[in-house]
Amino acid sequence: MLKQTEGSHAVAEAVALCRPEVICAYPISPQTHIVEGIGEMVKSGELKDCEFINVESEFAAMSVAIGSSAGGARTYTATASQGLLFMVEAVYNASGLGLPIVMTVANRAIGAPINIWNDHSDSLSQRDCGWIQLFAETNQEALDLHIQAFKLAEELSMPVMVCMDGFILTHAYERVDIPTQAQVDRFLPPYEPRQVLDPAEPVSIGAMVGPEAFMEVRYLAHAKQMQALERIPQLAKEFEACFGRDSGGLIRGYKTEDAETIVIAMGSLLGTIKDTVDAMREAEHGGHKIGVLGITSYRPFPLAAVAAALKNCKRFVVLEKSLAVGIGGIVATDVRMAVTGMGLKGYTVVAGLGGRAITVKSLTTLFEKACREELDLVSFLDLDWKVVNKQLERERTTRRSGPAAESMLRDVGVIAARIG
Amino acid sequence: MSFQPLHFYQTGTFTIGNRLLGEEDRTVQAGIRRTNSLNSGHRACQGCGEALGARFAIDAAMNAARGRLIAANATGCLEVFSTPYPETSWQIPWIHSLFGNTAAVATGIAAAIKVKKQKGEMVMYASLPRAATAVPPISASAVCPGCSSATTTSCISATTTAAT
Repeated sequence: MLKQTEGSHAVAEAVALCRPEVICAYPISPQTHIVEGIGEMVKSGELKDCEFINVESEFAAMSVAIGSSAGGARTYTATASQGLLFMVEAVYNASGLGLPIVMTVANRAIGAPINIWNDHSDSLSQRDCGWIQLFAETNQEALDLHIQAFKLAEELSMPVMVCMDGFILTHAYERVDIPTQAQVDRFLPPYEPRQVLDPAEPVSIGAMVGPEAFMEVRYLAHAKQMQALERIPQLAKEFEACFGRDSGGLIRGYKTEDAETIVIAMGSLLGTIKDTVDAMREAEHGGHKIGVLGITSYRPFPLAAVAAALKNCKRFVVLEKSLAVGIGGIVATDVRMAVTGMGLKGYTVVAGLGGRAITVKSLTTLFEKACREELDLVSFLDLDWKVVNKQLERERTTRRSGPAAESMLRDVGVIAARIG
Repeated sequence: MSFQPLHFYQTGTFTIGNRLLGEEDRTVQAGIRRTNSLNSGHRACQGCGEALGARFAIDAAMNAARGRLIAANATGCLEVFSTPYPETSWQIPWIHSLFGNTAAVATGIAAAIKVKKQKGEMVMYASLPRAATAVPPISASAVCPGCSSATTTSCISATTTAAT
């Protein structure tokens, strides 16, 4: 059914259609509306046979999820930013135990300085935690990926994070196609746990493992992700057969066939990039041979699929909403591994940190420079060098230069109002 | 009973026990009403207070829950000495997650049980004899006397599958 609704609410409806049995949550922007939405459905009785538990922290949220998933219940939670970091110990534990929890991460920056707006620092900080990470481009895809996530998680008995851009997607009202219960039931079978805490057949879950088998158990997590590489495209096809929509998959190319320059990104930013690329391809704007590659599956990272998509281009730009401090890009590092030996020129562009707007105007200038191969190896889109240099100068000349963020805000002049 | 020396071989393990004796000759530790949910053969030091305490706490919970008990165990001596892979002393469903989240994990298990019962998916398991007038607890905890690593007061959270 077509519906004009908020991204968070669309996800709440999708999760409810998956017949979750336990949902535990601690509110944090920009994820809050999702669990609030599901909470309302549980209270009203619209979502039956589901326990909704308010917990005292994100650490408890993931811990309750571990218990309920091990208890054989289909389990869901959602978080963002500081909340994800607060639950990290349990996040690793859930994947280590092989529990198929599904969690939404409404991507948001990590402080300090504290910032509630969107970038990908939070979930990308968890790239090695053993969870599968899928990135949604649109609200429709966010909705669809949740339905696919439960199936993928439960088949592999591994947890899945569905990442959607905080505010840009979670708070955007737009048209989504909400499937029927019958459709979802046809796609997603009831949860049959691989391991369950059952007094009739007692098992010990979470035993200590020494050097004799630890590597093997850890390797199994890697093997599961390699299986996910196979399953994710198949699930997208099964989903399409069931719902009539092409959604999910490992990667998504756009006008890449004849492209000499390919821009790679994840999440909602892809929409702006496609608009920019469409314009740049027109003759009056230079007729640039430029295309786009969206990465939907960040973990497992589809090395072979990315290499295949880039095999005919001359150069690529990884535009990422994350910063590996001290080296540059996070996604770019993975992409460079994918294209090892292909002789391509690659550029890392860090953009949109802490919600900094990424405009078509800035992207056009950036991509034109990329096409001329004039970009630095690592660059920062729309960085205010005046403010940065002033602070660096202040630190050179004054020992007690004070808190950097506050000084720089003073230099900018308009506190907390400059996002563009 | 006349003097009868006990030998390690009588138990088949390295623990000292008297489960091979007749019921009337047994100590409280080896009483036939003990559930042995945490069975002998684990790697605790002989006379370990934590193992003794855990067995009593779990017995109380097992009796109250008529044998339908799931245990969540914090990281610590008890978790380590009872489970090194691939062995386990646990005769009940048991989970260890982290050091600081045992109560929350038990909350999750209880929530799963509640939903499963609601949906009629919960099987009624064979019961053990119930102790006198014990009130079914929703959680039980065992402290670890003399346990140097125990900075939390609760090492075990037990959750019952009983209907009440």
